[in-house]
Amino acid sequence: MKKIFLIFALLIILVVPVLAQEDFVCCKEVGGDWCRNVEQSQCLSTLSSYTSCSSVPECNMGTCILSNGGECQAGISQVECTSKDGYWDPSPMKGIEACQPTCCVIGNFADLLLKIECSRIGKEMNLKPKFLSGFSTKKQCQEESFLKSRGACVDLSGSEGIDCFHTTKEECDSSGNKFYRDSLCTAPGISDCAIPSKPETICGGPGEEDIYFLDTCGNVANKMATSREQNDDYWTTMKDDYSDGDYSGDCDFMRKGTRCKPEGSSHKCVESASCKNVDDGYGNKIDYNHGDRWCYNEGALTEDVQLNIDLNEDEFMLERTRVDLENGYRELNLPGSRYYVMQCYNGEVIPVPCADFRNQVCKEGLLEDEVTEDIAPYAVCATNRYAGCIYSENKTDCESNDKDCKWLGWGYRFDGQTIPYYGISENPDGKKERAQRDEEQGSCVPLYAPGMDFWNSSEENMAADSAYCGLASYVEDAVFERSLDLVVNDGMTSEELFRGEIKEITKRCFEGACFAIPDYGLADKNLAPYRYLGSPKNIEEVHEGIEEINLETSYLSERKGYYCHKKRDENDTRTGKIRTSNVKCAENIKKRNQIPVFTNHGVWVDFLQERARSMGDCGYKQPAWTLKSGEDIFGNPMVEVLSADYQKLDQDMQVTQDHKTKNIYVADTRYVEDYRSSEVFEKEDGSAYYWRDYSWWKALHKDKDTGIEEIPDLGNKNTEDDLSEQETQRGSQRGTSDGQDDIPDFGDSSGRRDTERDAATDDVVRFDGENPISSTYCQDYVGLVKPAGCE
Amino acid sequence: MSKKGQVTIFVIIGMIIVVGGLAIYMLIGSPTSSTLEVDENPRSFIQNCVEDDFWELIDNVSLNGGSRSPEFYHPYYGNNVEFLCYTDEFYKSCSPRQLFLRSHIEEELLLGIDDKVESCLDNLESSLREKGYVVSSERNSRAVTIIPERMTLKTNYSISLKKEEGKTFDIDEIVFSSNIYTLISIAKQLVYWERIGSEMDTMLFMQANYPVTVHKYRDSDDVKVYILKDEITSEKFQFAIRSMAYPGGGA
Repeated sequence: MKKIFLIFALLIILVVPVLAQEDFVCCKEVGGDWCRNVEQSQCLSTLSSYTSCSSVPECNMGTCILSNGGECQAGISQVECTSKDGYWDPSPMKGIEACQPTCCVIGNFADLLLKIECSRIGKEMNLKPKFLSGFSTKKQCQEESFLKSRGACVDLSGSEGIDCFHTTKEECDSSGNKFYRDSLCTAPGISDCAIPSKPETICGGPGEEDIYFLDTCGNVANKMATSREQNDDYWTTMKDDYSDGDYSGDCDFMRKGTRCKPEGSSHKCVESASCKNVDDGYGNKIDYNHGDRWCYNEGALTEDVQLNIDLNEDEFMLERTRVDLENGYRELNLPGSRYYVMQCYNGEVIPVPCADFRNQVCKEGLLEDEVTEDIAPYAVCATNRYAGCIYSENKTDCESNDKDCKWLGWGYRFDGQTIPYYGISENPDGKKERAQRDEEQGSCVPLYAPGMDFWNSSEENMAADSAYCGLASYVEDAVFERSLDLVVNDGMTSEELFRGEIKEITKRCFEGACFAIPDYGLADKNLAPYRYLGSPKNIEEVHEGIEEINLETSYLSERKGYYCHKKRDENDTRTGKIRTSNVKCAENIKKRNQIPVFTNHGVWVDFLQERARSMGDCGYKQPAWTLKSGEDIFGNPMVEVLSADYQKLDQDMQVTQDHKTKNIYVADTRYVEDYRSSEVFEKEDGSAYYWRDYSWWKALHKDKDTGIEEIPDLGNKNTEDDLSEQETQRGSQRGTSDGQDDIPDFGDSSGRRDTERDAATDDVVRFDGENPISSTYCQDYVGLVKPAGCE
Repeated sequence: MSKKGQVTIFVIIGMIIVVGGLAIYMLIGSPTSSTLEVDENPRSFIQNCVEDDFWELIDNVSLNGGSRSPEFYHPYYGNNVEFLCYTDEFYKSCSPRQLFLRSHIEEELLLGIDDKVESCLDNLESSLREKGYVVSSERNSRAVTIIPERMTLKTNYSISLKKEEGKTFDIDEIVFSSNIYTLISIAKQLVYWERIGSEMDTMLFMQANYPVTVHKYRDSDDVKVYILKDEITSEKFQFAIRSMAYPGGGA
């Protein structure tokens, strides 16, 4: 120990000085900013040998002012400011008078500007600027200045009467005329301009948005208010608001999208163009008004515009949309897809993209205008709040409003724990345990699967992605017996070891996760695929000893050890065959094993698949860009594999033999039938078929360049023959001249199997010698290529 | 030949001369008219000389985010769109790359047009000399200024012509009608919002700044390209930003 300690201490002394020799300085980074802490080799210009820029005075932040240029910039370092010929002030911008925003009025121009900028423009225009305070918007500034600076300018020098026009005081003074502030030329006694009997109109005001009357001299008078036309004061004084509820001339582009437009001989507030016949992605055409917003997801199902719905507080999530998202983990949020907010603006549909990697998602609903009380479709890019999902440990927290997560109940927890539950019957704590299991036995995963940088092949990135997706992986053990007559000696091949029906294996499973065995929980071979034994509740009652089961036909364990243990010893493994129609030993709560988290194989596989695919760009998915193009391209199926390692154990549960890994599922394809051969067959025309859910499915995997259908590399060579030879064998055993599809033979090296039609069920049954080993359920062959014999 | 015939010939010859003279005048123009244009309105000469190049320069600078040849840019549909605000980090708002955008653009326009202006002034003076004028001129430093509704090319040029009589022209500036000031102001506001880690609602921007439209595009690596367009004058200004980028899930 002493020796070891000495070596260890020496190691530290040697290592630390090496670490301290890293060369970080404060400088301007090459191609980057000033005041960065980077290695010397990445510096364009070094500021200081201090490693931290916070110690460098030139890196203090302040306000940078360009006096002649009339610009200010906040949060700039001194060194950067002086490098751009600016004047640097350590004060924040709000403390510098020249850098304060103001309503700047120069002649006919008005806008919200910094004072320094206003001064510059005034100098350029050779006019003295005015600074008006108390305005927070450009429109307010413009409307106020439009009036405040104008009035009637009367020309008394004319020989043919008294001329008058509306202008600013400065312009009037410069022309030597008399100026009447805030007065119209139609004010009594100042000019020959008069009130017209039927006033004409014009578009005027800031941005020429509103409708104004004209006097007989053609001057723009006040904003049109038809109820005030006969009011003398209305034609005397310049005023912004004579409306008093009469908004006839007051168009509102900001709120209502209306602007002044000519109509016949007059003008009207006309609504901006709406967006007509917009494709909603489903082939429907929808009209939107100016200002409407809605969601669009490129490459995935879009969400229809919803009407007459209730919004959640501060949330645009719609209940129907949530259900779609929870269930749509295969079709929605595909790799490469992005959300957009679509806006209708003056007849044009303008897309606004949400963030990359679906870090933002589009949420839509209806919004009520505070002033007009109109309700219109509204949408926003909202943060995808998925980061905390996997850390949520119960349903309530998972589905709370501060997250975008969904709860996959009655499944694995990410921490691997199992919430105890022993059933309801005879169990005083049963309901409580059940409630807790409902609440806590599951995984919290993103509602909107986030995107990942899967094309970034750096080691670091690939490791991070693999680690993240790998959180959804799981390993289970299932221990089952085999008939003694099959276990002859060591050295058996895997095929010999597992020869026999899957059903036999499920019945003999006595420990661990029996549901991991394919088809565990099936009621009867004659039922359609995934018709498991009643509901999960029925399976629970089997485990409680209540439900009677038909062990002859079911794919359930017949071993007591799977349901109960010796009294007061949960760890004491037992086997023993169930001799009655229910599990008698499980009637005693003290002997009962916990109810498994998964009641059958299908539920288990579905959970694993949904959890994996919901995590993000994990698992087997179709890229979004192929959906619209119609290309049938998916990702690499080998990213989603369910495989089994087989070990032979002796009576003391010690491993005596290891066998090769076999793939049971690769992506959506099931590749095992009695754990024998890979169930993918290739026809002469190049098409491929695989066995799943007791039916034949056409393999849809195409090479995008050559168009050739490829069978995924299963990595599942079950004999020393390679796959190509097996394919050749199979190919030689099929094909009919009439072109109908055949049921491919299993074609393993042990010989051809026979098939026959079951007269009672109308199914096609395969035999291995005398033993029926599987069936094709013809009645479930809807919409699929029907094998021969199923006509 | 009889007297009548002689008169007829003279009339015909006279008509030919008059018509011919008119034709020559219309084809070639008065020998003194072009000189009259130039020496009466040298400002117009300079403006016509500079205008096309100036507008082409403005288009180039506007589509490149404010610089003639940006050093730090994002390629976007054939243009090198300059980053006005950038960070290469995740979860951080950007740092401005152009502290004083409008002043920078003014400087870029001046640098881009200065040689052309110089050449136009040379052409003006040489064409006047060819017309027999004694020309003297004073050329001072030039500038470009951008203010609401216009751009001004300050030429700071005065020229004296002497032939029979002398005259002097002071050509201080040439004005171009443009709304580029508004587009630059909106760009600065968008950059400000990105700098503080937020994104302005483009719809609100458009409603408050009619007739300018704001299009936002996202390109690779979380780069945003903003395209501002005055729908009445058709002027455009576009720029790139990378701010508040988030990595992909799993990272």
